[in-house]
Amino acid sequence: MSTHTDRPTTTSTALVVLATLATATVLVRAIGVSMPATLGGIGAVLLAVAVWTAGWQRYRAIGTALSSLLALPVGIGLVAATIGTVIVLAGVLFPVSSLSQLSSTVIDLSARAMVVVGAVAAVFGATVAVGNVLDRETAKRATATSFKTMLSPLALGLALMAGEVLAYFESNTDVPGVGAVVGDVLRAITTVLFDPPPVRPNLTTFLLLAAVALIVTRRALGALPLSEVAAGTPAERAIAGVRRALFWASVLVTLGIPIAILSDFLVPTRQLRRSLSPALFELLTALTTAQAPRALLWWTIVLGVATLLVVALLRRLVQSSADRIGATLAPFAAGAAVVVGTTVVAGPVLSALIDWVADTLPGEFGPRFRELSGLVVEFYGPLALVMTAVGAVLLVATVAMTALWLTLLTKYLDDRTAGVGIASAALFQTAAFAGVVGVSTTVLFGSLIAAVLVWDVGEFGTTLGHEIGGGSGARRTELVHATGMLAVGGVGATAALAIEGDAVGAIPVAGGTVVLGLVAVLAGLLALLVALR
Amino acid sequence: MTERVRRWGIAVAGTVTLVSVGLLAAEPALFAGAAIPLAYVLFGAFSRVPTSDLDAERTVAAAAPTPGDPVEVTLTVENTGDRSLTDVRVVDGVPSELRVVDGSPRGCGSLRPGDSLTVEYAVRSKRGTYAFDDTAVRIRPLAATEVATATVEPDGDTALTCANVVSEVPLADATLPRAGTLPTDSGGSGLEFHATRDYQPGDPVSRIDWRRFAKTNELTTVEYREEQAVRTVLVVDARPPTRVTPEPGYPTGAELSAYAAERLLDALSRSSVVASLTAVGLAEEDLVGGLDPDGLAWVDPDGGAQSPQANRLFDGVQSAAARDSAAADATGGNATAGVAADGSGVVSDDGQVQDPYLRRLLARLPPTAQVVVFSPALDEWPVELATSLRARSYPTTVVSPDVTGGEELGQSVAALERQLRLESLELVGATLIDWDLVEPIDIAMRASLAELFSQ
Repeated sequence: MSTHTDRPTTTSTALVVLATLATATVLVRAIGVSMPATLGGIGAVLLAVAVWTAGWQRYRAIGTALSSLLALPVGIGLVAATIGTVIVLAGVLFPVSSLSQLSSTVIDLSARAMVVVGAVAAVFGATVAVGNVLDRETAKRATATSFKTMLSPLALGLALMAGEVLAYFESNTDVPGVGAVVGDVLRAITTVLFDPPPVRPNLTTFLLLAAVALIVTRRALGALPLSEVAAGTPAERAIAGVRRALFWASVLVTLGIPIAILSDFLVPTRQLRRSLSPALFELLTALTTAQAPRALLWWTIVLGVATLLVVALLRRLVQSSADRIGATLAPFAAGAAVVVGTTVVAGPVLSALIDWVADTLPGEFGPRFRELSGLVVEFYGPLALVMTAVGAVLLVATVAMTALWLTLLTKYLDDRTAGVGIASAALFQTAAFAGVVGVSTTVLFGSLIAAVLVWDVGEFGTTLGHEIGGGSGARRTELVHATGMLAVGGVGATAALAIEGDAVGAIPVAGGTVVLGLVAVLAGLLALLVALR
Repeated sequence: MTERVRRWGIAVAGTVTLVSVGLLAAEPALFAGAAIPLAYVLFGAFSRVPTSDLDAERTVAAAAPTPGDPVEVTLTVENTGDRSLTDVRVVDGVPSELRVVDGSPRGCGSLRPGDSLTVEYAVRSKRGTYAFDDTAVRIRPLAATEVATATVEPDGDTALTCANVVSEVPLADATLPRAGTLPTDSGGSGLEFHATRDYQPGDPVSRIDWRRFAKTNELTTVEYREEQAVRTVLVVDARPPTRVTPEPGYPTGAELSAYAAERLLDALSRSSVVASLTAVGLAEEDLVGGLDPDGLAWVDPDGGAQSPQANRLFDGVQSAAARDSAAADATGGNATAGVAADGSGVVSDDGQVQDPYLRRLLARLPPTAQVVVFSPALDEWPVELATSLRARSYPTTVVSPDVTGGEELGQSVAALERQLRLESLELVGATLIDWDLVEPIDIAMRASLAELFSQ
């Protein structure tokens, strides 16, 4: 069979991966942030795997499930590479001895963090270049999968936090500002609906709850496949009878609501007591203000709505193939698994995380952080905090994938060379920021050569794979090309060394004329590049 | 044709970034480092495709392969110029009708002066002659910023011919039982005495029995046993259900049937047998000149398989198969795809022939003929045909190429059904030649036709 494919050739891919990994490792080691960078690198590789599995055509359900499960490790890696790096660097670089050093230290910290971010992006680019798995479709699917996985933990975390806040507002009458109003409204709603004062009959809300419960129960009975199951048996008629009874009951109760409004709000208690007999009045008051029947009605409504939702979902799913159902449900199932896992490990993880951050932060920041976080944990509880944090981590993964997708969608990156493009651009960025931090000239120039070579060899291999096929028959040509281009890089590096040697003494970094000269050089260079294009 | 390739955009962006960051951060090393991507940009900008001189030679391994055989093709491209070429990519012009089954017709190499690049691949042969296109060559300089695309006309073999060249005459020693003439039971002109009857006005004077007239004074006419020439009719089943193939690129059942018919027609013409040829299932557009008014493609060729009419019919079968396999490729069909038709309703319950192909064929057959049906037996039609022929006392032979030999479950089922059909064919009295594709048709035919001819 012909080996003609759109995949890049093996040799080129191997060169791209090796060059990227080596350069990224050297640069990250040069700035001394190993742990967060390693986590970020693992996250980048997992992100590439998630993009790959999201694009599986044949085993779509399994691919989507794997992609969903990888979303959390990807998010953790990205957060470690960014926030983790900043925390670690802050612990090393701060406190500064004088205020004048503050700005330069902040620049140094930012540049070092950008080196780590760039290295992580380069590792991701090199990994997706293997097999050329990144394109608009896979990026879109990975984004959608990550988004769906994120929904449950984030929603639950926010709901838990909101619940804590609302419970606080409700239980404290001395909360200032908006909190007081929210608390009052909440208290009013819960009182009216679930715990009305037992001084007179409270028919309106009781009948309202009853009407909704009856309607929902009837709809739920209709939605369930009971009549199909009971077809031809006496139960079928019984079910029909129950539904009919529920219908008429709901009609009657609904019709009773206006009368209840009249009696509740227009008729004074004393007159009502007089018009009804006192015994009936007491009975009605006891029945309509008791908490138990109202709770029963409320839970009937909740259960009925849940049943209706589940049945509607199943009805939609049953019309699809098993693979599509799996692909649709997998992200939500993964989200549910994340929720369960988070619930189990929330406490230990939170305390370990707080300890690590407090120990890492420099000087006074550590104890202050411990104090503040203790207050926050006490208020919200560990579960709500960790659940929201997990949701936020998944949000970071989703945002990263969305950015990737949008970059491909706007054609800033070509589908064909997306991986090597990302790797090369990220290596450029890493090298540039490493240069700002002040790595040795050899490492800097070597990284720059590697950045160009990664692009050159990757693009060459992709074109070769497209035109000839991904076999090993073209290895000699690829090696000849790579060696030749490495030699060009050597010439460039020699020139750069010469320029640098002359420039160190020649450029006093002050004075308007020098700046003007540099701007002129930049403008000339841009003009040259435009002319070349 | 030479065109520029813009592949250094990222180096341009890198140069600008380094210059900008170097200036902003007042880092001479970064500023100087911009020389590195700039070096690549400049090298790419000034790179040009070197002048090249390439020679190519193509060798096709098999001179006259059997349809379906893989044929090795070797293409050698040599740099006869005096400059090294770092990146030469070649794509051989494989005829679009042939499928590459092994290796790749594409290759790539770095060629010093005198070096050569060899590309080896195999194509699945098909009946007919297929001309190779010229070899496409792409040359790039080291920086790959320019592409020169050209074609090279290779020396050596320029076409793959899979013609019906008879290397041996497999049936030369076999004698047909009814070659030439067939004595009948009706009287008329002939050689052998049959009967006498009363003279009727208009009878030839030469056939009056004058002895009897001399004895009895009655005029009687002598009748001789009438003799008729025997015809062998070759029926190629090329209906859509037969146009399936055991694996991609392999000839379809219809093509293999046509190929077997071609071989037999050739052998019969060498044995001086009068043979007719027909194909069922062809569409109007498949055959040059169109079908006969009754919807059959029928030829009475003079000159056997080499005659233009016979060739036209075989080409028609091939074009019909090619049309169908193009459609099947789109849907990923293979031998199981065409087995859906079960032939039900070919003959109605009261014995009336319903199938239009069958009805037309039976109407067209000469009264004295032996029929050889070529069909892969993928539906019930050949069984119905053989039954109808046997019911009308036509000696019938069925040659069936086996296109169900595959590993897939569907192909196994199709093979089982075909086997049952072959047994049915034998039961109705047809002589069966089951052609397993791993052996040449000549062997299968020699083994079976010898028996047929000695009846």
